[in-house]
Amino acid sequence: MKIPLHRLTVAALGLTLVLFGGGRLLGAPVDTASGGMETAHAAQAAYEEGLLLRATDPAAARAAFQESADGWRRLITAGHANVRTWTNLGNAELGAGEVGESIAAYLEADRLAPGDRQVRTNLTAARNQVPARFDDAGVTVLYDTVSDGWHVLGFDARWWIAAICWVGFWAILLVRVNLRTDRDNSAERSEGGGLLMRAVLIISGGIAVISTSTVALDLSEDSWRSPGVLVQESVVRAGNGDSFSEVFSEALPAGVEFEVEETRPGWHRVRFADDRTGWVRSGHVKLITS
Amino acid sequence: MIRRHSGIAVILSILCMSLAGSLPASAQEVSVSYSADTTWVDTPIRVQFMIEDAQQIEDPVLPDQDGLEFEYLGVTQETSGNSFENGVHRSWRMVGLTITVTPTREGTFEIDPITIDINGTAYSSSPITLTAIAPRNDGRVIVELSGPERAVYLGESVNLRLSIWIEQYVSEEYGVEASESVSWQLVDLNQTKWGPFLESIQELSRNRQRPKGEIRIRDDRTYFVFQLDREVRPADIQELKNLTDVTIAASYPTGVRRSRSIFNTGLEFSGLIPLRVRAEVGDINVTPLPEEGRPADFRGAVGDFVVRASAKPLRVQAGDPISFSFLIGNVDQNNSVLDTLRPPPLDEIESLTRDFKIPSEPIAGTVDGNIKIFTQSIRPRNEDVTEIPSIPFSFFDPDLDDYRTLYTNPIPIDVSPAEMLASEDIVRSGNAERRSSDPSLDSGTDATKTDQALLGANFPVDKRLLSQDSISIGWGSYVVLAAPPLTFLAGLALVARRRWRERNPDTVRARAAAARGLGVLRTEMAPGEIGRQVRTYISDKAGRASASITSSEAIRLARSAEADPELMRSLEGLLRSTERSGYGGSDVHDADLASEASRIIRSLERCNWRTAGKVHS
Repeated sequence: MKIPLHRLTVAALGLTLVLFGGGRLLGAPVDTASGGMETAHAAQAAYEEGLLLRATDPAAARAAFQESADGWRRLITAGHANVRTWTNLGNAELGAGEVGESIAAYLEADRLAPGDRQVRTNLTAARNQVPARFDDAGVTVLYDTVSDGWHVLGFDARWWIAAICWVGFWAILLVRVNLRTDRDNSAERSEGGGLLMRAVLIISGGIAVISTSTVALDLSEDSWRSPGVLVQESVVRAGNGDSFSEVFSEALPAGVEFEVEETRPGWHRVRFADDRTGWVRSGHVKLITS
Repeated sequence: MIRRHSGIAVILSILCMSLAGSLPASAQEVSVSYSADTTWVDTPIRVQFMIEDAQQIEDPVLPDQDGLEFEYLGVTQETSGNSFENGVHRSWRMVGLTITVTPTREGTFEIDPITIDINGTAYSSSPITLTAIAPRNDGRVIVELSGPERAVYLGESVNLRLSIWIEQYVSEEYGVEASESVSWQLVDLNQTKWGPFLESIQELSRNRQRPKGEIRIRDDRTYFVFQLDREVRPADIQELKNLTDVTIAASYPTGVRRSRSIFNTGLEFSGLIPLRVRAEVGDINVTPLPEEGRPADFRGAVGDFVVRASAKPLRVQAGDPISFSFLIGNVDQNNSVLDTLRPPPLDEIESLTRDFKIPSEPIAGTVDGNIKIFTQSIRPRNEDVTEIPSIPFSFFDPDLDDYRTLYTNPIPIDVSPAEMLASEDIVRSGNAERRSSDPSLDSGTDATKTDQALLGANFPVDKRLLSQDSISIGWGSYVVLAAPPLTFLAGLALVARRRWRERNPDTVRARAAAARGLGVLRTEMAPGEIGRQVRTYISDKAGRASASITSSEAIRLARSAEADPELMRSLEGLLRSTERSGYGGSDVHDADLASEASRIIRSLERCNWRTAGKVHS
């Protein structure tokens, strides 16, 4: 029995997707043998203790949150940097009153899982505690607004959609070419079937392009953006030195976010959401980096 | 002692040096010359000592004379050379020292000897007579500096105007008169003390411009008037006096002559009188600002102003910053006023600080045209605030001789309560979620609940916490990306090949003929069958129906395919012997025949079957 060519091809593409789709991420294997799990349990316990003590002993609660933050930070430093540890670190920092550190941790988590609902909600909670806000303006804000739209779907989901539609598009295209050849030979034509196939082709191709673009944009974001957060109150100056005049009449509080445009020894030139720029001490800043 | 005389008249005296001590064994040649014996007051003459072969020269001892100013300029000339005198080589070095003598008043002066110590020997010049003539201006150049006609208040912007009147020079002898541009060239820009107008004249000079002169008649004399304006803000009376210290230096001609320059064959001025004309300053009275009626919020602004206020955004939450801009417009359009203008003390205005949190740091304004804008970030203290109140701005109006206070219009704003994140908005999971249901947490105050609500929930502790995330993509993604289009191309190629084979069956058969024939011949078979396989091969290569040709036809086709004679002979022999074996009914297997047939087929493969006829029909 002879199997039609297009069926063989589609089967091969499907097999490719199944076999190689799993190799998308180069995630490091989970190391449960080391002391990481004990550290995580201790950090979690300190966090819960902090939650309990907040009502009765704020100072002790703060110390517990700081202990928890130290634990999560040790895990991250040990190589367990993932959405979960960064988010938990952000929670602990927020409990310890370190709004800037907290936002920085949430932004790290958001970078690893763009659009993750839990991360975004906690990030919003932290941002609400920052007493200074800027009017939104500029290209990065526009990009953030638009990217929020595609971040409704997670990175993995968008990758799978892109892969399936990509494979489907080429498979359908090949089937169409093959069938048209057969029809030419048999002089048979089905207008309705042809239109349907064309529509499926366009839709799958379009979805593949859009999904791939969003995945590519997420991947390339690190190369053109360098967000940062003030982790302590800082005076923004017109130049990279204390002798320069202040850009704002008052020091900006911790938690204010910005994009780093230039770095010089000890100083960063930053652009705020309203497109105003200034220099801040690098020691007052935490950069969100890959 | 050597006396040297200059060949030109300006060297008036070559005076012997009177020896104050004994002559050394190798005496120096020392001479002195004077550049002129008559000069203008304040115009120096030069006294130059020329000293030959001196080893050590001390600074000259200058006399102290009433009406004369001496200044030692040091070594202004130095030459050296070699010479032969009577066949003896001699190196020499000549040094020139210059001293200027400037008469400060009119009169005739006897310049006292100037003494100079050379190699330990004192030399003195002989006294000469110098006549100083005071240049007579006689109204040729008039300089006026004018300011406001009324009294000026301290801190007030003052517009000063410098008017330089230069009488138009007319030469009746040559029938020419100086033009406006030539008249301006009489002013010595470098020697003039411009005072506050220095910046103006420098800017004009940088732009290769000059003040434009207007022709005017004054006391029946024709002048060109050049004017410069300058705005100043004297902080005190002394500063204003300094500002008005302007002296114009001009060289006014007394005659015209033919130019002696080879580059200029026209006329040139002669007998230039160096004039120094100090500006005549009108009465500019500076008055301190009155203490009476001075508002508490007065910050030194003097002039005439208008004020406006704006804010953005107008709809905020309590505690959110509002960018409040206070604009001060200068009606008089004196830019220097804006430079030093200070904003009203926003943090001291009770109506504002009551409802808004305002930084106490001073704010620096920005000047935009004739407006200075001060922007301050203010935050409404609560949601009950409905407007930004009127902001007063006080200044002294010189025209009214009194203080004025202007108010901005109130700016309505919409303040909503500060947003607090509700507990249900917090994503909770794992242990924290379970903990949130702990009744012990509910026993706190409302404030405590709010604080807890502001804390996010942790991800539960499990092995996923120990993974390492990255949004980079691995090799699988590239395979998935590349495989579909490559597979598509491969499939496309297969489809095309299939279509071609369907459309060209003879070609397909011809290409496969050798493989098929050689394959069959590898099996044992009867000689008749061997001959048939060879004929079938030739039929396929020639595009004929299989097995439909005879041996003679096969030979003809092979010949037409340009098979060489030896191959033809082998083919004929093979076909003949297979036919014979066939007719003879022998079924004896002949491995040699099969081997020969395979060799012939391989040789026939190299023939040109395209010429055999119907291969591509």
